[in-house]
Amino acid sequence: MDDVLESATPAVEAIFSGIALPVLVYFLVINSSYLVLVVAAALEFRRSTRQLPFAGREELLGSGMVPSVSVVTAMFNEEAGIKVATQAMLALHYPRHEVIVVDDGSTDGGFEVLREAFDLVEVPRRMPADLPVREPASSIHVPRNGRTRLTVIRKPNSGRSDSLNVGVNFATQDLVVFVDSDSVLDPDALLAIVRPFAEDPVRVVAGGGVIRAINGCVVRGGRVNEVRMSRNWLARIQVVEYLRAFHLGRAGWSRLKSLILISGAFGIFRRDVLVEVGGLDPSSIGEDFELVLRVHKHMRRERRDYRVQFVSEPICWTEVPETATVLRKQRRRWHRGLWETLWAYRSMFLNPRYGKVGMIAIPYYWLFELLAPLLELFGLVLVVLGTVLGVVDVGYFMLFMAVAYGYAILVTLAAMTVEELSFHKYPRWRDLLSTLAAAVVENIGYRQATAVWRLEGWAQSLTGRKQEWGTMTRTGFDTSQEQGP
Amino acid sequence: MGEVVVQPWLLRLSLWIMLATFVALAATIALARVTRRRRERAVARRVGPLRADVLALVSGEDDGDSGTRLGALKGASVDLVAPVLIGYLSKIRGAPAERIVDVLVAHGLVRRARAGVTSWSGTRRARSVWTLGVMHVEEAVADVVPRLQDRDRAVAVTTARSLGMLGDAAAAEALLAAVAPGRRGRGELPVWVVVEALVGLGSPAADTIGRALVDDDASTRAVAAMSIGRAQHLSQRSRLRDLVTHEEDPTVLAALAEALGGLGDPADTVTLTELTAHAHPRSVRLAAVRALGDLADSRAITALGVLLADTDPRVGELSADVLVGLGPAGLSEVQSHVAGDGDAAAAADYGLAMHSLRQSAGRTG
Repeated sequence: MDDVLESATPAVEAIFSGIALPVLVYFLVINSSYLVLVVAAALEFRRSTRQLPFAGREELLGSGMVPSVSVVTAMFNEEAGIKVATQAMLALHYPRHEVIVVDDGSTDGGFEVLREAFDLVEVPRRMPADLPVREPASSIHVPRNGRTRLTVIRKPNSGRSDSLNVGVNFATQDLVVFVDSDSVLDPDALLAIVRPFAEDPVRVVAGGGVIRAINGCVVRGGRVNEVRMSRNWLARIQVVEYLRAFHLGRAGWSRLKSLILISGAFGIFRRDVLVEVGGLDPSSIGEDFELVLRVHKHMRRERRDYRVQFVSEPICWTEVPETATVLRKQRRRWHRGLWETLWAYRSMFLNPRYGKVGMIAIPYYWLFELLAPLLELFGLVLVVLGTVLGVVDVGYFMLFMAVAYGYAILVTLAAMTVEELSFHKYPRWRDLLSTLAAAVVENIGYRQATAVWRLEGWAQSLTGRKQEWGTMTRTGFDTSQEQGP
Repeated sequence: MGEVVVQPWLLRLSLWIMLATFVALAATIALARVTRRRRERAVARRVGPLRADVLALVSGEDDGDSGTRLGALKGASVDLVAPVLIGYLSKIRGAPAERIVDVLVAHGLVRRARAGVTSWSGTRRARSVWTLGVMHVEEAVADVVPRLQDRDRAVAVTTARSLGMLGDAAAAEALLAAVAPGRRGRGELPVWVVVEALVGLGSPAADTIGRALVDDDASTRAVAAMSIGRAQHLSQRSRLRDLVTHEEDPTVLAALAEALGGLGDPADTVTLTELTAHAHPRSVRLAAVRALGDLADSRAITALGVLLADTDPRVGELSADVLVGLGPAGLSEVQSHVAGDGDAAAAADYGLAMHSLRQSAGRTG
């Protein structure tokens, strides 16, 4: 054994001396880039919070200038929570919106729950063929009073994207908001996410809102009544992760006018633009990412002046995985979707025709999102191997790791500071402390595990394995999310 | 042991710097939280005892004492109560609004606001132009207009809203000029804000707005069309019709259709019917269908009846929906298409089904 180690030492030493510096530089650059995004997001938040008192949001609500919105959601076996979710969507603080629920061939009693709750009756309605769909609607239902702006569409199972495309076909309003049926929107979320379209109806074509973890929060009647941190450490870490990557990261990209990812859980699009680009791709795993890239590509090719905007204010609350098994499936799927979409749109990579999106955002996603787990694990293995073989001193190893992960913690702490100065959503001191702790704990095991899972997703795609969809066990938000103090 | 990638002393130094930054950031978070809560408590403590007087004033139930007490406030209390009163001022009219203005004038708010329009602080500039607007200080328009091109967007947006309240048509040109992208990030004011402001300027601004229909910037043309429709500037009807023939931007075209519908001249049936042609984007066609419904005369009903047979189900269904909303004449037009099995019959079926549901609900509920 000693002989093997001894003979491997020169090879490891050679690799280490050749690659260690680039890996270190990569680690520094990736965290610095996060820091740049956090700073950009901070500037964006400062701008929007300063404007808020004078923005006239209440006046917009009553001005008659608000664009009309179709809220489209797909449900599959959501019996437990669909009634409350639909009631909450209908009750959103907005003057001109309709809700379209597409039942994607549920095998549970979800549709019956809706039929009973809203006294649904079938109506003779034809489906416009604006977007091609795999499975057309089999029946269309509206509340018997003819006035509640709800349409429930039943169709055979064909997946979320295809169901949302069916919903878009039936959408009658100018803007389409995609919402996951198991997510909870803040009452003013619609008004806030629509504001960019009211401000610049000619140029703004798509937008995304903030996604936060609902785990641990007190939810009643489809509304988040009290924001609290989950007791589950996996969920706590994801709260920190969502804050850094999804909230501040996307706000930063929006500030740099290069937003290329809008979460499928809460995204808004101009309906005509959705139809122009062909809607969601049902064969894509990263369908939300793919759609936004397609919008960018289309608008750039058409040489149209357009904007894709992130709105930091509205909040969509969604349940994050609390078990490693579900989290693993989710991260595998996300990374596989990332790889397949980036590969499909490789022609945009460093292509000046696509402006900042092609020259900055897409190369960034290749370098710092797609390759990140590969290089992080490679660097980690190299340092550990170097330490075992005596190429690197143990004390030096510890110091090196402390600096590397310390920088990552610093970035998260910067994100938390921006959050506290702008939105301060978690009012309890104990939640603040557990968030701080999660920012540290994230680097011990979680980060490495998610890197492995992301590589697994990438490998699944490269080896042509079939995608497995993770199953989140939903219990409905009516009362089950309540926790004691 | 091989060569190290980074000298240990440099790593140690980095670690110390990071630790110091951790402590600074954690302290910032804690301090921000403590400061915010103390401020909230202080505001509640000071404003609380004055709440009854403020409510009496804004509800018009003041017998004179509340106004006197509020007018006699001094120092920090004025700074806390004035924003509350200004907030109410944008929501109420009549005698209570006048009493609030009296209190604010007594505290020198007009003088302070006019001085604050050119302050170095963006927040103060925004507050100042807003105060002048809600207090209807008409002689301050000349001070306020230049702020439309303020380097701080929040100030420019607030200025537009303020000018709408001041209602001086002289501001129309500057408002329209602030819609298109300007130099160094200026301009590009929210369309809805500018439209509301232009509507607030009334009929004296109609000609200026009408001229903007031929602006090079599509957003400016859209703003002009929306404002004309909402403010009912009948004098600009011919300009709207002229633009329809050569406008290419779908958002502007839809705004033109909506404006023509809003002006309500049956002579525009032909123009709007042309906008429902298949050559136009669907958003424009749907806007034209709704506008035909706004015209609501017999020619529009006939045109909508033809559209029931449109191959786009959405256009047919919307036409049916609009027709049944027009009363007996529209309903009869829809019913005349029920017999048959084409697109028109399908759209008519849907329109009548929805109408029947609403009627039943109306009877029972």
